[in-house]
Amino acid sequence: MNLCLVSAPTATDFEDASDARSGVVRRAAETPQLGLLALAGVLDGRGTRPSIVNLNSCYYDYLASGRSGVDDFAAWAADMVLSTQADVFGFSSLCSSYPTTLRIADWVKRSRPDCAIVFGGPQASVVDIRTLQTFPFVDYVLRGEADETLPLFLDELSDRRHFASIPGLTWRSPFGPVRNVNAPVIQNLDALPLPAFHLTGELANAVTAPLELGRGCPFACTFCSTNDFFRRKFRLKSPQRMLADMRAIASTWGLRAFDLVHDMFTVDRDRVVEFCQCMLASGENFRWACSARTDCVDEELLELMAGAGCRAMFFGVETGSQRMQRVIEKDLDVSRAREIVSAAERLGIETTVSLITGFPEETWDDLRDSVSMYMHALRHQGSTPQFNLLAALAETPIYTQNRDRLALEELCSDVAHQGRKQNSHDRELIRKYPDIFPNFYLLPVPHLDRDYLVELREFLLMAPARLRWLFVALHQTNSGMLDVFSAWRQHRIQLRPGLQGWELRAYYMRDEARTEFVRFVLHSGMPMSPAVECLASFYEALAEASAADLTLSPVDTGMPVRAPHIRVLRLDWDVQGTINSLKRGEPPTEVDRGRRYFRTQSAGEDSRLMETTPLIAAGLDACDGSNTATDFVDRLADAFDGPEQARRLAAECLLETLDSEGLIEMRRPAFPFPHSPITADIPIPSNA
Amino acid sequence: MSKRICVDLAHNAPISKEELLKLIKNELDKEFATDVVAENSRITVTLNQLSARPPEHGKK
Repeated sequence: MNLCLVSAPTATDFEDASDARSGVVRRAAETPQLGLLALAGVLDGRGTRPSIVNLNSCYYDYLASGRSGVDDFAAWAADMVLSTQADVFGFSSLCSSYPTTLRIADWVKRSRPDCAIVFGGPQASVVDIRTLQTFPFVDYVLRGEADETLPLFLDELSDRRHFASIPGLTWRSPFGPVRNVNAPVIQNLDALPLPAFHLTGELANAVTAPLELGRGCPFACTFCSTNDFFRRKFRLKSPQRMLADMRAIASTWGLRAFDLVHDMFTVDRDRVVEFCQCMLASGENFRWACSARTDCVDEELLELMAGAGCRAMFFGVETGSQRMQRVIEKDLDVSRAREIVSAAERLGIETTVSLITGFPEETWDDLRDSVSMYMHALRHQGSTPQFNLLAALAETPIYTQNRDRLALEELCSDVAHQGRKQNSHDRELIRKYPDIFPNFYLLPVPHLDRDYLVELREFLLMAPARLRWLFVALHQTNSGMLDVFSAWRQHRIQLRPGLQGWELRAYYMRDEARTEFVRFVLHSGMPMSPAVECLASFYEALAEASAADLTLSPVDTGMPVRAPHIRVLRLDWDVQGTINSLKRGEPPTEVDRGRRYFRTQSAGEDSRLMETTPLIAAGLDACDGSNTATDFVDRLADAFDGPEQARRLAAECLLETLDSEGLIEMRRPAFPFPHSPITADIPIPSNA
Repeated sequence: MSKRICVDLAHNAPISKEELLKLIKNELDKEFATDVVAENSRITVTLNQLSARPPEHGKK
């Protein structure tokens, strides 16, 4: 019996091929699928080596073949799955891509009616009965942790077929679907083998390696489904085991950075200390990231973690309202959460601060508190706040309380779907079977305006990547970002009436939204502090510089031109000083208006800004496609003192330096200049 | 344009090309990164959400 394990796709969320191909999407999408590889490791150790199909990789092959969209992807991916020649196909599942997984499985079963299809993973585990009732091509669902039950299931499948004896299995009896008792959780995680990274080789191109640090969160937040998947049984692998796995990966794949996966690593402070001490004693200097609650860490522990290699932490703060903390049974102290985010920043630990809006009990005051928490995180350079719409995850308390009041809107929660636009086939499935796909639905918000919330989320997501410091300045010098958004939304509705759903999302993803918002800030007559005026002027200048550079092309003109993404700005504002004040939560009462020069600095897909010197700015300015190399030298020679020959050589050196640093592009040969042998020393009289 | 922006050649005579290049490189070294992420794609934000909490735990 041959087994093929198929991952749950995430890249397919990005139906737009250019979105899917962007480096950040691709890096995340090509992260090895840890759960699947963990099972493959168990099976491989027992002598059953499974085939593995990573549907994200398949999706990129599909796009590379000239196809686009996910409409035809299911049939295409099914061919990839079938090419493994397996008899048993095990599909992992996530809520966001469950419709796609089902359609692929359907295609597989149509081509191979004799094969066995077994589903597993978080989504299938909670909608097991309904899945078997609704989709006849799914034969079995193996619920929860399957490290021990999958081998048992495969044995029964090939031999006795006494499925009633397999814990965690949901299967079809002659009388209908049967859900066997839950399988016990794996108590000793150290007994599990290293995930079968060797079967896919995906770590060869990875920047970080995911490693399971443990399982199970003991808390009972009403919106969360993960706690139930791991039966709320908190377990950790031993520090020694983690160190051994990290060393093995470093040795085999050369990776020294790790995503340590656990929903709640920091439940037991003593064990976190033990882990950190093990890392420190090893002398390995591994870097790692983890998830934590803000009430399960303190500054002393954070300092130890930072010293032991922790570089990033995920904090699910969920709501900035103390009242809502109690309602959703998260029970964090919001003030303490703010302090922890600040402490992590001081210690060089990047944070992701996740917030959720759209709870049925949420009021405007609660929403204001959550936006305030978002803005608190935003003023920390190393923090990336998230603002998600609540999704009704299947079988969570919040879902069961509201299952008859769910709403299917064009835009749904990020937890359910990450891309711009939902696939039409998936949409039809979701509409038909709300109890299988409830995560695509929104919950009732009787005290709030849902359209307002949907747009607020899109608006706030502009901030971390595009307008961080303007947002922070607006929040700190007005009555709060929620009021700014309310005023902007009124303006936006007049400017672009009728914008909603996917068009609204697309608008906030384009430059127009940024440009129009900055223009609104500068010209709407709203109270404008010096910090707001400084940063709005800065972002406006940046947008203008960006637009002006689009026509430059060294190949066509044969002249030195600025490299793509290199732009020059002149500004009469102390941008950096203003940002430094905002970081401290002390917006400046006045801003230095001295002339400053900036240029953009490209780093991968991100672009940073550098404050540069007048000379470099002048050199880059001259490379606008209208000057030849000789024109450049004529012009820039005036920037230097001394005899003409020496000044011209200095200008040539400037041009050469800009070129060698990759700041400009030139058609060769531009060097050497015919009139000055650039290898020669030039004597300059001391009285010149 | 202001004179003496970079090097006052009169006080560095005679000067070689290598020295000039070094002086101009020093000019570049005077740059400092402003703490503004000037621009990147919205996808970065979305994917931060995926990468910060690996998909298997972030998407249930």
